[in-house]
Amino acid sequence: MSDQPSKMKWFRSLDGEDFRRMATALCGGLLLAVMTGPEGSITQPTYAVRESLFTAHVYGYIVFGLVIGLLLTYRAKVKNGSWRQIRSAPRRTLVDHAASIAASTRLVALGVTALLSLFAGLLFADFSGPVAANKFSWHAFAHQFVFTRTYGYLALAIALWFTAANQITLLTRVRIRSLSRITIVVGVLIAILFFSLAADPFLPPRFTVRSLNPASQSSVFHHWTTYLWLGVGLLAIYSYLRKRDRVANAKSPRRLERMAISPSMRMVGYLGAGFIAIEAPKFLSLYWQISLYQQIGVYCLLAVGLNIVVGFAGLLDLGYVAFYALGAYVTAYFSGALPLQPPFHLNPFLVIPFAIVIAMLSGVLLGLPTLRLRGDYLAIVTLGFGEIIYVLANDWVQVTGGSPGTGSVNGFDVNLLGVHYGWSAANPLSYYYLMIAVLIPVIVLFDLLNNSKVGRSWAAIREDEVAAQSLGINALKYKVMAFAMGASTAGVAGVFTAVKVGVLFPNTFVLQLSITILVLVIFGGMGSILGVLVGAVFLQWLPAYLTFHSYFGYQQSDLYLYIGALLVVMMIFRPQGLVPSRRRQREFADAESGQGSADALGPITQEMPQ
Amino acid sequence: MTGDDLIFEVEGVTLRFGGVTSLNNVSIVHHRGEILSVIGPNGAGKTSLFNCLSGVYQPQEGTITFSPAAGKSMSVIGRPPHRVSQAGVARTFQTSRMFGALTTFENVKIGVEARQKTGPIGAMLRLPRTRHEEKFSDERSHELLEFVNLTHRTNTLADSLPYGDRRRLEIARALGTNPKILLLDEPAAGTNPSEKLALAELIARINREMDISILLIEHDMKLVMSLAQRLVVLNFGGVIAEGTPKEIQENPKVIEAYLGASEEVG
Repeated sequence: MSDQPSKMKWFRSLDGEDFRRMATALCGGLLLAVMTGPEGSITQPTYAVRESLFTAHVYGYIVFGLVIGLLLTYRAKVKNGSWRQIRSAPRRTLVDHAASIAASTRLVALGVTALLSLFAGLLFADFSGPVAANKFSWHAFAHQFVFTRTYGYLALAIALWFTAANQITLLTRVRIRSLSRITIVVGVLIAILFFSLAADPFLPPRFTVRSLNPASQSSVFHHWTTYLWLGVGLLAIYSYLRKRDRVANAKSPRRLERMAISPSMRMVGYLGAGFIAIEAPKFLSLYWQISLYQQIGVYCLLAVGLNIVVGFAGLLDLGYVAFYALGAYVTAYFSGALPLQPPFHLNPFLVIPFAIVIAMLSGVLLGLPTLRLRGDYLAIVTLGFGEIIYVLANDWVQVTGGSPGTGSVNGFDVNLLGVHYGWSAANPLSYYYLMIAVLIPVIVLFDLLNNSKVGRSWAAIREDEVAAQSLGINALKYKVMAFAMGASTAGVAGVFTAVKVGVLFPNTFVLQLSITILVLVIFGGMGSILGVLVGAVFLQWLPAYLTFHSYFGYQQSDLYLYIGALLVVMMIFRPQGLVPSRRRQREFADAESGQGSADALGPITQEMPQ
Repeated sequence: MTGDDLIFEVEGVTLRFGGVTSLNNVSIVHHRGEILSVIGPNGAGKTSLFNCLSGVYQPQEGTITFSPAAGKSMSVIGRPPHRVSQAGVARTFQTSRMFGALTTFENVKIGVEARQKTGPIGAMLRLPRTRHEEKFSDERSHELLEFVNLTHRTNTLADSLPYGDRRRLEIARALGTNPKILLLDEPAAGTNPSEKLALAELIARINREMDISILLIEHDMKLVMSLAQRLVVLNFGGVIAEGTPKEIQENPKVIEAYLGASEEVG
């Protein structure tokens, strides 16, 4: 390290990687922008990109993307060492370095970030009102400042700018001597302004936002409980994840043991969760009681099943929905709802074993020839399989009924030893409890499986297939096993869906659904059952919530855009998922430092070194 | 050591990658209970030979016969690596291939468990057999860690082990599969002199106490000469010499092969 820092201009040290990162962040912003663009309807479709360009949010999100990109670039630069000298240098050198950057560059950088941040903040502050009508009015613009929410977003802007200025140019570190005092002042300011955002719903309507869109009158921001629950939830998640990360990163076993949660605490946690799972739904509205089963429960089951394939065994399966469809159509078949009549009708409860066996067999049949492939090839083949099942459901009309859908599927009922009970749509909670009764054993069994010989063999194959085989582990057998188990879980989920929705349509079982389930798994944390449950609950709850409040005029068709943007952000900041498993987190850390063969999804079978 | 009881019999093995001949008509015999060392300059085909013996590569010509016990024999060629391993051939790798995200203990346990019969149903329901096997594999893994002197690292993640410990862990993992023969691919690479000494002792103990035959690839001549009862020298994919350490040291062909490529020798 030279004593005299060279007259390095920070933008000179940018390289292709930085531009790629910048482009990714910008694309993320653009994606968000298009998502929040004008709403369309069937009679008046939206040409999303073009028409979005006329709305204010677009620019907000693009700027958002820009600032994020700049921050990431800075972080990468410091991490890979090219700017490390600057950071670790003594204060004097820092001053020298700052002096070595031309004053004009400093001013321009600061000014640009300030403007960008302000712009972003203002645009987020629902300024779409005066701009969206395509005729800008100063009166409307000024009027926005009456709204408390505006100040909240201005705080966001200040926070964004302060971080950016601090991180990118390093100027504040040097020029502003009493940095700590300034940080406190800015922090308090941000806190006050953000509080105004939270306080918005309590103030008289004159001071709160009334969006031009009548649909978003009941915006989620207008209910104080939203903030309460959001705060509590975020705090809980944050503290939990922090602990988890610390445990995962602890190298010495002593520290690991010290941080481990005691079994009694764990038990208390399970009991508490169980109590909430049983009692809380009773206080929910009918909409949420239905959603709990159909939107969340079924998807939890699907995600837990896919987690075996993707998370435990490290195989990328893009045709997962095929097994789900099989389960559903088998149920319809035994209800006599298909044109092809069954030899005997069955209660859906009795269909479950059939669904498991059929899905499992098709999983084995698909797996045996294809699981010799790896990574991308496997993904393509499974994707093809998913499409085949969809085409069969859609076009083989004599058997499946085709696109008009099936007849009605029987509901669950019990007629056994004098007990007669039928599950009916009028009581959605009964379905929910049934789902819980299935989900909990499945989770427990899969957890036991993961912590057994089978789970360890999967981990071994995922980490290093060649080494695993050298120990006598039959990699193909274990992969097929994972495939079959995932498939059978999806089959069961199919039965539950068919029974609840009553009529099946082929276009429910499209590729997008496979990808959605995969996203639940990736978002939550591959390989961690708790993680995928969190992912499934959160990502399935969110659209239901947005639909319920029709916030920002949310429509079902927007879902994939939101999910896409979420994934982009996720992959940048927490690629291992929300609640990753310890092993997986370790593998990610190894892969990042260039060790091991674990990449995001599965093993790369390396050629043997000569 | 019995005279004609061969554990490995390699006859006329030829392995080609496209136009490159990696092994050319290689014939080697390995007596049961023996420490046999394969040496040779870099690129001589030592690791290729290992990969053929463990079923990773399928040679185009020749036969490889493995006899797990006297009087029983099977061909290695045409069998996938896990079958070869199950028959009793364990190996380590030139570049260590640990399961880095798992603990030392779990690494060894995977090796032990690979021989067990527990299936997914048993694992999910914790059937009596599974519990029994689990208990056995726990005990066996602890024994093996003690054997290779890694007890103090039981709960350490494998990727945070120092290099010498990784080598020993890899050996313990291979021993977990209860092998008849252990193929060691440069176990001493990158270790310091005192670790090397401990390693030589460990290999001798494996051979003596566990009655496991050992096939050793190593560049460190001191280690090889002190350990091996017999040596095979490979160069350019062919066997150029075979004999006791003393004979090899005096063999003009070997000296030429090594002197001609003295800079390449590790």
